[in-house]
Amino acid sequence: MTTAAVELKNLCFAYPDNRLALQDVSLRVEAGESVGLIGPNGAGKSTLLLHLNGILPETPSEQPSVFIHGVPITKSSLRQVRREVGLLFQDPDDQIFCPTVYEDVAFGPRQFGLPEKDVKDLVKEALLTVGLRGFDMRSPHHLSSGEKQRVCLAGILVSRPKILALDEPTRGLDPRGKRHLLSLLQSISATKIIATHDLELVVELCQRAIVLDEGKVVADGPVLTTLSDEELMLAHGLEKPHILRHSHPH
Amino acid sequence: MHHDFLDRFARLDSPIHRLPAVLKMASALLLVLTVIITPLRIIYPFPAVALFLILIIALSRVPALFFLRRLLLFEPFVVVVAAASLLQPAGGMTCASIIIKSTLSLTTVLLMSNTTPFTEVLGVLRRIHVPPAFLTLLALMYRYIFVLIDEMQRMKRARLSRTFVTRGMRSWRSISMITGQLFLRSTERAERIFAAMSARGWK
Repeated sequence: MTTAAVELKNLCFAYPDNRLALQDVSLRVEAGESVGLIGPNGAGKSTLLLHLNGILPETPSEQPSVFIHGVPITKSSLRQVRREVGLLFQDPDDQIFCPTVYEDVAFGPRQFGLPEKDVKDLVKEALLTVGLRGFDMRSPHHLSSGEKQRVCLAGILVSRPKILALDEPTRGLDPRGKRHLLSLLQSISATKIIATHDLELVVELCQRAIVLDEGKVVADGPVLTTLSDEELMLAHGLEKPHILRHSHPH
Repeated sequence: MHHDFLDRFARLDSPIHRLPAVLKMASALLLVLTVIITPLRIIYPFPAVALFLILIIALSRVPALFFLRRLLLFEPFVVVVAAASLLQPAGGMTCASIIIKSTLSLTTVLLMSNTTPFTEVLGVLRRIHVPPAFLTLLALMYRYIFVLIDEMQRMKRARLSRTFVTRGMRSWRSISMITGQLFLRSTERAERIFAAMSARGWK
């Protein structure tokens, strides 16, 4: 068996208030796959994503249950893992923490100790990829939500991660912003794990869907079969997306 | 919602704005120090400094009214301290000294911060080897003060939209609630920011 890009083995997690957020989650995501992680509010989607580059648990556990390209997340592998897994947070204001767009996108490469000249080229390229050429010196608080979202993406892509873990990437975007994001994500060959309520995005971007509810994996299969299962969808606070309801073109 | 009360005019284009940041910061520091050190009995430097500042303000194309408003905002603190000095013997001179010196120093700093983008200030501080931890703190503060103000305004709006009594005990209670909420939200946000920084390799 080849090594999976991401493998979770019996992952459990409880928040300090003893609320069980993840219960015995096991799954494999192969390299190059695009997986939609869906489920009702509070199902544990964000918590799961935070495990993928070792933000949670706060101190790496003795028996790691998260493996990135076969490497368990431990204290010693943490830095390498964070370079390989790009994590997009829900709120762009949390993620853009530097006073200018340039500084923010340059943050990752600088942390990994690249020389300033290479950083400059990488930032330029990343901003070009997300369509924000010339935004270098702008202040984050003067950007629109869509632009902020793209700065966040640039800040992740600049480190060339092999795995993208995206938390609600289309939240707060207008339809144009959504289309732009969709084509951008389609053009990136990394392994993608996308936690979202945007089921149409899942249909367009992913081959596989994982349904999470109350911290447990309740379904895992091809997108079309899973999302067309009306009974399953309704039971877990979801619904069959509109584009799967009609086979004829509108 | 866009807030730029700190450095609204820092990105204008004028001969003053185009000067190197390090020059502006050094001269501001020098000017403030001179103003503080010079005893008030040597009268003539003070009108000269005032004239100089007025000249720079004119050159910088930052509206003079803006400086006046900002000064008015800070002046109450100055006046309180100055008034306290009146209580000591021969306090008149000390009082005048505090008011004049503070006003000139404040104007200088306002002028500097409104003709120099904050990132350039940070750049200069980095070059003179200010400890990185301190710089990170300053940069984060500058970045999030706007986010915090936005958050406060949103809460205030949400409160107003459901408030029917705007005075008395009840309104004090809701103000204290907003302050508490803001504090809670900020600590939670701080945790999320730290997570975001870690996710991109912060150590």
